[in-house]
Amino acid sequence: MTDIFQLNDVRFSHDVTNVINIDQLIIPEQACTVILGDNGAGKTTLLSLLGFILTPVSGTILYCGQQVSTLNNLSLRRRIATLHQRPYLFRGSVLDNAALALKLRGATASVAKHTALQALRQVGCSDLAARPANSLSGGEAQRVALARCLATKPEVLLLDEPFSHLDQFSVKMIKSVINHFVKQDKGTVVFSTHDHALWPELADHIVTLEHGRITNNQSVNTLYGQTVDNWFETGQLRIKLPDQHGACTSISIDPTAIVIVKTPDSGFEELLNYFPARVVGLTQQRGYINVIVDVEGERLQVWQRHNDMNCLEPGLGSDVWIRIEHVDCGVQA
Amino acid sequence: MDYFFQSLLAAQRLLLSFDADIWFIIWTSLRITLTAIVVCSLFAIPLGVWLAIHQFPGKRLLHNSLNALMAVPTVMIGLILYGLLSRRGPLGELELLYTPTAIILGQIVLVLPILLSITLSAVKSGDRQLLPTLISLGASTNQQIWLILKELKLLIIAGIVFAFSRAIGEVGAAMMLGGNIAGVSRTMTTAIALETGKGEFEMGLALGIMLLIIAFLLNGLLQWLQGSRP
Repeated sequence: MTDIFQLNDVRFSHDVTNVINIDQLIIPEQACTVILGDNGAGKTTLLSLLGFILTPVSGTILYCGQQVSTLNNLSLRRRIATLHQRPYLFRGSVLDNAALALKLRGATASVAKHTALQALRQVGCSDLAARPANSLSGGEAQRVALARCLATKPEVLLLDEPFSHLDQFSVKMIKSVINHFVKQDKGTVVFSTHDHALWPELADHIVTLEHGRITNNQSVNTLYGQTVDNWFETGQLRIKLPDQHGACTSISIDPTAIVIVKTPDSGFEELLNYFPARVVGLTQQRGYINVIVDVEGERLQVWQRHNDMNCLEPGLGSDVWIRIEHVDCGVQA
Repeated sequence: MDYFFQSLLAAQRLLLSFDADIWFIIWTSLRITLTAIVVCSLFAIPLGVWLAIHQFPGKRLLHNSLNALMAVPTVMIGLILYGLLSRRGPLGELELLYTPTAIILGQIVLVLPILLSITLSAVKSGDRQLLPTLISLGASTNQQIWLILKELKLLIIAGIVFAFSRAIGEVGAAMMLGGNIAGVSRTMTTAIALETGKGEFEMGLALGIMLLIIAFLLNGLLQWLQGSRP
């Protein structure tokens, strides 16, 4: 697996606020990379930088080893397709929209129409081809915009929160398109999400963003709150912090640093960071199973090895106990 | 009141009798203003979109300056151009003063900040996803400008109508630059000022009615376009 993007010392800011502050980021080729982070973490800005929609204030972005500049910006942009969180569809029919990017690349009307129809078929929207684009529902618009991206046969597909506000059918359709694009078309997908339950079955590589910075790639459980003495309080959970920590407004918990047990250990009332939880999501990830648990209203993901899971056999909705073995303090207050 | 209604009836008779002088003045006004608007729109509107989609130092200052220039009195524009075009001015050799071309120049200077500012504002007030979508679809700068114009055409047309109304209704620059020469550079507004001064109120009123009809027709056209939006 080679690298398709390499970002070095990339900074991007609106006015004086640094939105993106990345020392180094490598995105592998022919794989699905997920960018995780809460709202305002900088996911959309990072995708805009990867799609060459925005230019960094400083630092370099390499695409297939080639440095991006104003000279090659347009040709590189045409090798990448971006699906925006709230896609913009132009006046005209669905087919006009799906064919637009091809026409911008100089394709003849008949070639553009034929390829656009194929792309619409791929996302299950071929029956909408003649409909005015402004008459579509949110899910249909998202799929048509995805077809517009696929029609250009890009090397990289960038998707900004592709599953937000979508019905189950559209979510399933987009997941299947992502899988097909990576596995059959040998393309690269980078998508952002704040929903931990949606990505595990797709991701080969994870990038976690927090306040525009990349945090430990594996630490995807981020909780916000405040420190009170030696405890971190989220409003729902009260977690004991390691000794000699500073005051912080967020903590990160590595999904491998949480242990699931079926029944509580004896004397569990005395144990620290030991909570009752309910399993609300189960997805298979390469090499392990990602278990989403609801703990007093906070959702955490726990990565369990297959063997451990076989012993536990927790089903969806089952009540379990979790023990948080390690906590990292995040942003200092 | 009786005087006003009698004048109104006389004006109506003048228009319906297709008085050659009146219709020539109307034609001259339309010809001058249409030329100014078409010439100015051809470069001001694409330039306005270009300015809107690019970031550069002083962009906000430029937009504020354009807004301020929209309020410049037309007589001031006339005065500056008079200085440039008069026989002793730097452009005197072109012998443009007291010609329709001089009025066209005056109207271009008048509507340029209007068209630039309205185009900038139209792009700014449009959907925030439009430009990022165009960039991500691989549109070149020219393609971006063209597609933005297509998407925002109604706002741009409204801007053109506003600029046309401002140009055809101005009197200061037309009087100073055109000289109000009968059969050459007499426009509706300069004729209204002249005829009313001479006591020919009916003639002034007839031309005023035509100005109002043009304004209503343009407004109607705009409403129709907005109503027929796909």
